[in-house]
Amino acid sequence: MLLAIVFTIIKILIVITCTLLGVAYMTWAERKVIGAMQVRLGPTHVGWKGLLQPIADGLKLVVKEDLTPDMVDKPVFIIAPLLGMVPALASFAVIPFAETFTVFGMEIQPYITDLNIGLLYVLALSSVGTYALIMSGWASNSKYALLGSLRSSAQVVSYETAMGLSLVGPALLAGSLSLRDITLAQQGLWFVIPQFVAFIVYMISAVAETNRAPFDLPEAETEIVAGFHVEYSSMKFALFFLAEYANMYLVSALAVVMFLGGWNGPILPPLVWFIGKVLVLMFFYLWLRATLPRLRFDQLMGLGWKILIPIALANILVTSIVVYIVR
Amino acid sequence: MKNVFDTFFFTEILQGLGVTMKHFFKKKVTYKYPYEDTPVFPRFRGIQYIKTDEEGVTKCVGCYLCQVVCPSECIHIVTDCGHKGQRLIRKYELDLSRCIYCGYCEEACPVDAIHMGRDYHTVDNTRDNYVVNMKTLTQNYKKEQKMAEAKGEQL
Repeated sequence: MLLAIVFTIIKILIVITCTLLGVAYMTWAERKVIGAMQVRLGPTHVGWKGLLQPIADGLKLVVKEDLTPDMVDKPVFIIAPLLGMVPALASFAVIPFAETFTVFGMEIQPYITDLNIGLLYVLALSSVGTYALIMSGWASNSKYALLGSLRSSAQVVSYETAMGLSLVGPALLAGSLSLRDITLAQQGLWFVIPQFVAFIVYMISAVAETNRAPFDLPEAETEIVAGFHVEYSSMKFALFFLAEYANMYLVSALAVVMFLGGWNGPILPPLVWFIGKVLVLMFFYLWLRATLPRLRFDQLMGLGWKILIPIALANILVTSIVVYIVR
Repeated sequence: MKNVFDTFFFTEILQGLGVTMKHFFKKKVTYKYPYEDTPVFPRFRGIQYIKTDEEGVTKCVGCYLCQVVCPSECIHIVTDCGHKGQRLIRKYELDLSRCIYCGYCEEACPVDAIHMGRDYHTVDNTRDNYVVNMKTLTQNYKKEQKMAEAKGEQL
């Protein structure tokens, strides 16, 4: 029992460390990739090829003065960034990174836990992350922050629906909500093939869910300064920043588990497959950001409610009928 | 019908993604400025230099034309009468922080003395260093000559 607890704690530390490192280097990768797509170089100065840039950025943010404006709602103002970061990291508890393997006669599970409602847990936590945006906008006592947070809450609420509905299809096919069972169900055929429509809907919703371009309305620099984190500085701002990227990793990992067969793949070890798929999806994120302009807000809501949700519902209907007939 | 196809298969978005991907592999056009200079075009107007004759005496005769023509009033000349009745230039100052590099001084100069150079590294950490005098300007001439020789050109 004690050994199990120690093991879990070690695994949690490993996962959080890897996630934070991945988040830091995703900022570097983003600058590099978008720079390359705009025929620039991106960061090159700090370290070899700018590889120490995220560490320098982190140091800079830690050293900066942490100022709290007057008239803010202090407790809410302080809780908001934490509330953004914690769910994003906590969701990684149920992501199955690889198949169990045996070392020295001990069975090691390379994931923190295997909840039988893992999918529900992830969706629930991702909606908790919305509160961070709402609370930060409200507590900042600034019209721009409030506008940004209102936009983001509207956006996240509408796209949460499409995202959840699109995830129902794979869950129906696998007959389970446990992410590990869903991965095991894809050993023969990845769900991206029978559930291609759901995959497209999920990817669009996921980009909208994480407030990234082309759906980065809450942070629209050109319209409302910076959106919900306009009044934040120093480490609080860094937390928002990290939460955004951690969420990107999360939805990518979830897409890999639900649609792209998780750790399944020939030749290479499972963990390499998993990480490789996640990184491909992350690259797709950056690629989209370098390509597409921002949507108008009514277009965004129209896309969510009028197009994605009906398509996701139709997909569920068809999937359910097929699954019913086959079983 | 075509529009429906485009809507359902994101053809325009895919086109855009293709464009960005094509640029991703292109040769980058960045000049790492402090470490390598951006290239300068043939008619570029940089920091001025003043030509000297063979003995190293400045060609400038103190006619005040550049001071008069200068639109930002950054040239200040003080002349004096020498013992043989010739004109001596006591002071020739050019304030680089005011200069707009229009090249009018070069146009106005009747004796082919002041010229626009090709160097643009004016930054400094004190304001006083922006005010350059005749000595610096003639030294600039030597620098420019060296640069031109390296390129195999004539000033």
